[in-house]
Amino acid sequence: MRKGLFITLILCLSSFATLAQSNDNLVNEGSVYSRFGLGFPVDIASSSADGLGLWGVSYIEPYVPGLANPAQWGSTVFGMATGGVGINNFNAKDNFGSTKNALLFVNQFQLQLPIYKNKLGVSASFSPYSRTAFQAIESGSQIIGSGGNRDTLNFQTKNTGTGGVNRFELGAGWKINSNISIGYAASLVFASIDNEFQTVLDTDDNPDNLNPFAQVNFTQQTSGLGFGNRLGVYFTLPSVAKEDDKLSIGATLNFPIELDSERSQENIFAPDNDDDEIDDPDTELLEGNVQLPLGLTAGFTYQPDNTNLLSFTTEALYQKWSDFENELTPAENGIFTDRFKIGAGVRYFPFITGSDKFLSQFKYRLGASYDSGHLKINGENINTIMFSAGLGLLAPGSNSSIDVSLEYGIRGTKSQNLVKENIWGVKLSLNLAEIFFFRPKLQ
Amino acid sequence: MYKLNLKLPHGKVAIITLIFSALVLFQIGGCTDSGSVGGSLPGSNSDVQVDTLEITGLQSDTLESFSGSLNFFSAGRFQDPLFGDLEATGLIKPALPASNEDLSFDNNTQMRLRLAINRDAVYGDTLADAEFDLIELREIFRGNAFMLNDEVQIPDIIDGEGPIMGTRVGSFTVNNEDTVEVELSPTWVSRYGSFYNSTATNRDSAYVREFFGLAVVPRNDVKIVAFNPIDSRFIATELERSANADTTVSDSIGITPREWAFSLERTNIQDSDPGSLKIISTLERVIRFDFDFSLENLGSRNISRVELVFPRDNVLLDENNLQPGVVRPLGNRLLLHSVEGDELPQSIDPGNPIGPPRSLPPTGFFDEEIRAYRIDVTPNVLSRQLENIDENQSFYLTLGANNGLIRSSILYNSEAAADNRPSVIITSVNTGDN
Repeated sequence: MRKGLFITLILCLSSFATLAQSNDNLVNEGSVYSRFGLGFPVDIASSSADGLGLWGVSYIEPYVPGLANPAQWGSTVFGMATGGVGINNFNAKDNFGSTKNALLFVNQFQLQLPIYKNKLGVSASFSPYSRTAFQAIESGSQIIGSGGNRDTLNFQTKNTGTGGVNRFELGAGWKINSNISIGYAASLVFASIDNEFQTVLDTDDNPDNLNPFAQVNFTQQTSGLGFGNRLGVYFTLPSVAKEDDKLSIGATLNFPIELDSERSQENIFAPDNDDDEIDDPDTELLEGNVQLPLGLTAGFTYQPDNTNLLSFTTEALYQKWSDFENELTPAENGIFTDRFKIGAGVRYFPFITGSDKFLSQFKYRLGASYDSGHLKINGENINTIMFSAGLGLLAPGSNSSIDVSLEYGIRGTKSQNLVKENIWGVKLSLNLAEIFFFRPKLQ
Repeated sequence: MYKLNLKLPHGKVAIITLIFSALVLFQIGGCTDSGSVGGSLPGSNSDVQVDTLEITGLQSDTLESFSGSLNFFSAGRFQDPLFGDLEATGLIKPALPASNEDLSFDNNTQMRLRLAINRDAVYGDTLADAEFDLIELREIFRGNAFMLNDEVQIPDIIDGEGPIMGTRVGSFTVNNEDTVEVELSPTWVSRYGSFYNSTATNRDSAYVREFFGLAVVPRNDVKIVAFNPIDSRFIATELERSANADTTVSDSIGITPREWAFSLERTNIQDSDPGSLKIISTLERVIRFDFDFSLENLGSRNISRVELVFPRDNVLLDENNLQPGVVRPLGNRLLLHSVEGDELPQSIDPGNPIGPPRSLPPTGFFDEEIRAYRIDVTPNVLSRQLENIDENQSFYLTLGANNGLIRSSILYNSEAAADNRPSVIITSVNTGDN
């Protein structure tokens, strides 16, 4: 039995690794909308919420670390850790064509430890704030010369963006009493985004097929550093509608983050194409601040009984992207708009009943969400509708688990010369419980 | 330490999970294709820009150039209404090969000079006969050190035989041939033969000191001819005389030239028009200018092409057009040199390279469509060879390489009409941030 799961794990992880290494061009391109700002936002979410498409600010899932709400860390009993990877497939279309891209990503890593069991806990995590992974090709032409020397200069620029904004976060949560918890986390936020431009130029009238124009290759590197803060509260209200039910409410407030940023450029020149390339030293282009917006996440979860067998969750997010300021690319600032996201999901954990039926060995999660998006381009909000489903695989004899979630969504529109993306995604999370500490003798 | 203790109640769980995961992963990650959408989204705005910067301050300069041991040496006289009266005198001296057992110079040895001619470089009347004398020199010339304007002491010609320096060794006429052969006088052949046959230990040094070679002296002023010394030969022939006085060639050797050079005297050159500058391949006229090729001055770091354009003053050339059948070789190549002032002319002649990535000076060609010389300096600009110019450093334009051919042209300078001014054309890619 153990061998079967082990093989499963190895094969799944190997598949990810194989996809990652098979062809860089095929597995590092994501949403075309990640070219704007510092990339497409990635929300702070607990791995237990992956199958819901939500964040998990309003519930605590035992033996699974919770990243979404710092207040939940006060309820930590055992040392826990989680890490995950995922892959998204983007089938993008616009009025001129279509493309399929796949993006392999590391989701997050978190270590959550109790200081005083079920009273005070701490968390350390590494998670993405935004992700940049796109490739855009732009073609054009212009008339050069005059009179008999008049010619058409054609050019095509391939712009490839990679990187994003990540954060390293430390925080603590305090369970004030059985009903109220609060938490705080501070983070070091750093941006590292590479924009590679490759432009090929040629003229119509090109005798001997000798292109007199050199290919222009350069990479603009955007980097930034800042500090982030967030607060969380978590309320548990037992016996709301009946004696053994429970309503939990959670909310987090993410304060704006100011990144001290700069943009530099490295040019690469191959004198005769086959010769060694000549790298220019980096040249600083711009310095400035990037203001990441305020965010608020809140939601509630209702459990009809206290066994965790079934629960219903509704959560919402608001981010004030209209306050986003990027002094490095001020021309873009006008396209950012306030973002609202709302979703609902249900969790069903039949393993709690102790049944030995096959289908009772899993955790089930299902959810849907609507995201108004943080971009408004050509008068259109780049919204996303997402459907999610998840399957949790328990490790008997341990409280660790593996979560696999699948999601499908639609983002954007083809109108107004925009891009519509059909998104398929899968995430794999490994949740380790009871690390560093012996299990209680009495459980 | 934590030990993961994983057990499954049913093997089916693992198998189903495996199949599910594999299917999902390959469905999602395996279906990709190349291509791109979103090119019409705002914000990309990469743009190709073509800028033109004028080159100002062009000045004409004269360099004292070497004219020996080049690819060619010229000889002849011609009067060009635009570029002056030219008289070129060629110099050539045979090598002294080791004695050949099959050939020993004696009274039966004849010697001819076979001169190869570059027919594409005739300067003057292509149909007329250019007449030349071969005169024995009275002084040493050193091919590697001979300068274009060095004077050649041509002795008065004394016809006839005799051991008198300054005698005419031979005469020839050039019309439209690619080679001419000149029979050399027996006296001169005998003098050469004495060095050839010598077994003295100072054979070579005596030859250098005491035997001076020949001058190719024009006798009329119809054209200037370029001779190719590499393909030219002194041919020594051993004649056998039989009893009935018939002669047959028993043996012959071809002797390569050891040294060659030419001197050029130019007078009555017409003053340049204020809007143009003359340029001559022999470095009598080169063009000097300063220009800041730094990326800051060029306006972009993302450069695809940097081209120098020097329009030719075709009006002035046409106004001074020559008669039908009379040609003025117009150089169709410009070379750009970046040199220290005190390195001249060695840094130009024979074409000191600017440096990698190209091993030769940037070469420009004459574009018939725009009637201008165009020099692509993109690799040199992008590899930063043209940056950080010292105060003492300037750019020089030469009309092709100084290879012994006489070619001429006229370039407009910055005082010409706006459309004709020399310029730098920069094609670059910009994204708004650079």
